[in-house]
Amino acid sequence: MHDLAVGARARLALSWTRVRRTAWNQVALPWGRLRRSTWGRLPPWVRPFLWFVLSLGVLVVPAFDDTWMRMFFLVALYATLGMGLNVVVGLAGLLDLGYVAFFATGAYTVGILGSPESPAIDVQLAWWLILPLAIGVGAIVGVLLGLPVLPLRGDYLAIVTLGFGEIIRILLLNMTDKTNGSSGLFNMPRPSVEYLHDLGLTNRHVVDDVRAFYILIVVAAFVVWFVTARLRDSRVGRAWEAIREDEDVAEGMGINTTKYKLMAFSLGASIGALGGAIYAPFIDTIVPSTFSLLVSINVLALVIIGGMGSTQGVVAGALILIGVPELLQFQETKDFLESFGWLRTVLNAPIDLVNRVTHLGIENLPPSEEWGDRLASYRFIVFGALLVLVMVLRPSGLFPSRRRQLEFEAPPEAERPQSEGIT
Amino acid sequence: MSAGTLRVAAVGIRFEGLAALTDVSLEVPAGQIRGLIGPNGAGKTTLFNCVTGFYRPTSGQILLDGVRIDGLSPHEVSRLGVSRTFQNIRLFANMTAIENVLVGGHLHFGNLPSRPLDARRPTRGRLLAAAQRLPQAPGGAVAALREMAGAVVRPPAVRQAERVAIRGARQLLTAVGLPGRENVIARNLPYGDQRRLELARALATRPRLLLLDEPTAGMNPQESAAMVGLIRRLRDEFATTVVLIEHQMRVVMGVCELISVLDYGRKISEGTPAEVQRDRLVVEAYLGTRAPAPEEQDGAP
Repeated sequence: MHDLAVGARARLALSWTRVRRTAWNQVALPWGRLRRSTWGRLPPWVRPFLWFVLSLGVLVVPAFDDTWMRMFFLVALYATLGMGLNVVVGLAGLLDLGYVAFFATGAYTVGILGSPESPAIDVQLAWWLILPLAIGVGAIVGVLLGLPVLPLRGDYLAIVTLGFGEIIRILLLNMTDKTNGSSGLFNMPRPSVEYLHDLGLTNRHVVDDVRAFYILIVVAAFVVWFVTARLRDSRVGRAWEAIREDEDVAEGMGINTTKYKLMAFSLGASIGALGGAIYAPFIDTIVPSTFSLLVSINVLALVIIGGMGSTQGVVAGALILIGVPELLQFQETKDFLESFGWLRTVLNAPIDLVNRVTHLGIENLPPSEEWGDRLASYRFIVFGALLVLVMVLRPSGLFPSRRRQLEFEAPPEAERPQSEGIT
Repeated sequence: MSAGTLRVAAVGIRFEGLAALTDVSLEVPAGQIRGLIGPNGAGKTTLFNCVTGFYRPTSGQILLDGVRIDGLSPHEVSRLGVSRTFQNIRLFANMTAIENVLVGGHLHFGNLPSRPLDARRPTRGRLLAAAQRLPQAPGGAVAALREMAGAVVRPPAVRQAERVAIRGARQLLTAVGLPGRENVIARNLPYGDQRRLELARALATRPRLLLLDEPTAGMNPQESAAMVGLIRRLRDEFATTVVLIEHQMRVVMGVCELISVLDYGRKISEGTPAEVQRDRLVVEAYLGTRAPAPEEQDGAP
């Protein structure tokens, strides 16, 4: 009887450690065995894919009007940027506060090479031709930034990259003969989809409205996700993570940290440039003030809110960080709040009661038609509170990077913990 | 990989006027288990840092199988076959056990083209050394792009290399006594297992020379005894020379074939465990000299 009790307690303790140790898609049962949830039974490569498709709302494209599509575009754009920054910050552990520089590089490459107004070069290349150039320029800029900051770590690196982000913006502002300075560049080249048109897949000739841009950015985000996910699960990704965990030891294990840090920087930079190259034709006019520090902060914040190192986290972070402030000022939100007229009546009753008893003179709630406008003007307060809430409740992000298991070829006893002592 | 011979020739290192090591010379023949002992602050770990390239000695030479390795950067030293563990365990804490070992096997992944090591020794200045390496940059960039492309596309060769690497890592984990614990996050492993994992990670670099910094620190006698057995077995199995820093005399006497003693950055003694134990200088270094008798004091000027 006694043995049974001890065994049960031990198992309980074991299952508790299991809950902490196992992935969230596995359910720890009290008898210490693991049962995978339906989600967990899916093949490992399907899960992130499904997550990706669902969360970006790829399937609901036609269901929304342009305002919503604009929001979805921005969410997907920031998710793409977030995945790029995730390589630098989440995987390689290099805190980069100047990510906007690469975003600007991509956008201005498109502007300078493709816009008819560009004062420097009198060529107008097609967008599809500029795209690889923009990615390449981004990679080179990434290496150029990476080289001087390589010996720096932590806070120092953050400050230098912060400065770099500002330098690029000021450079764009002052190189009037190349970038038109503060008046910016406009009439960006539109991505041609003539080929798809010929195939009968679309009735457009160029990508020119929000919906088409949304599809373009989703495709780009998907490619970026694939590339970063594959890299993460490779020798390169392991080297990056080793550098993040302990740079000296990584170096001692034979990893050329200089090389791998530069690789992370330039990959992150080229993804940022890719985002910029898509963003430029989307807004059509690029001015230096678009590429402010706020973009860097937003991208970094969504990586952290989402959970460093995880793609799902980045997408969720983008939804919250970019989606919510937009959402709060939508007409639909106002309409939705308006339907809560009854709540006003309910809440006003106790206020009236208090006012009758005391002399506080509390104001009654405004009519529910105004709630939406008020929320829209206070949206950043709501948003800030939401961020604080997320960080209090989930300090390591919404979807903390969970260690994938190397399941292939795993011997069955891999799941069973051994005795904790040393033999 | 065959065991390597380590020769430390009159190595000295100074930090801003503090002489951490002075004229230390060691000769560790291939396959030996050498103990390195000495009181705290004697310079044992500093010597390890010099051998592994973390520090650059200010004088003297360090040779592995006749090749100078002092002044090279740690990853180059590692490539030449020197690996180490750390006094305070330094695992990649948020990576799984097997990933730790896989990182150790970084240089032996697939049949990577092995670039011959640059014969030019790095000069003193950082910038100058960087400038010297500049002509290699385009080639390095192409190699990096190819590596990333391989990781993204995963051609059969890469898949095969990954499979081989994982199989090798599993074997190493089994060899150090951690079978089936590959998916445990390193941070969550019990202390003794973390030491074992660090050992497996060091072995994954296929060292000719293995430097162990206090492998039994914080272990009870049973665990220490197990570790001693493990070290001896690994030396035979993986054919490597072992130098270990140790404070527990039971371990030192049990496992080391020869012992070198450091004190205040100098080598004060060397010999078999029994010889070293009897050495007056060693005893003094650990316990201090006996206070001079009063009459002797009187005699002093």
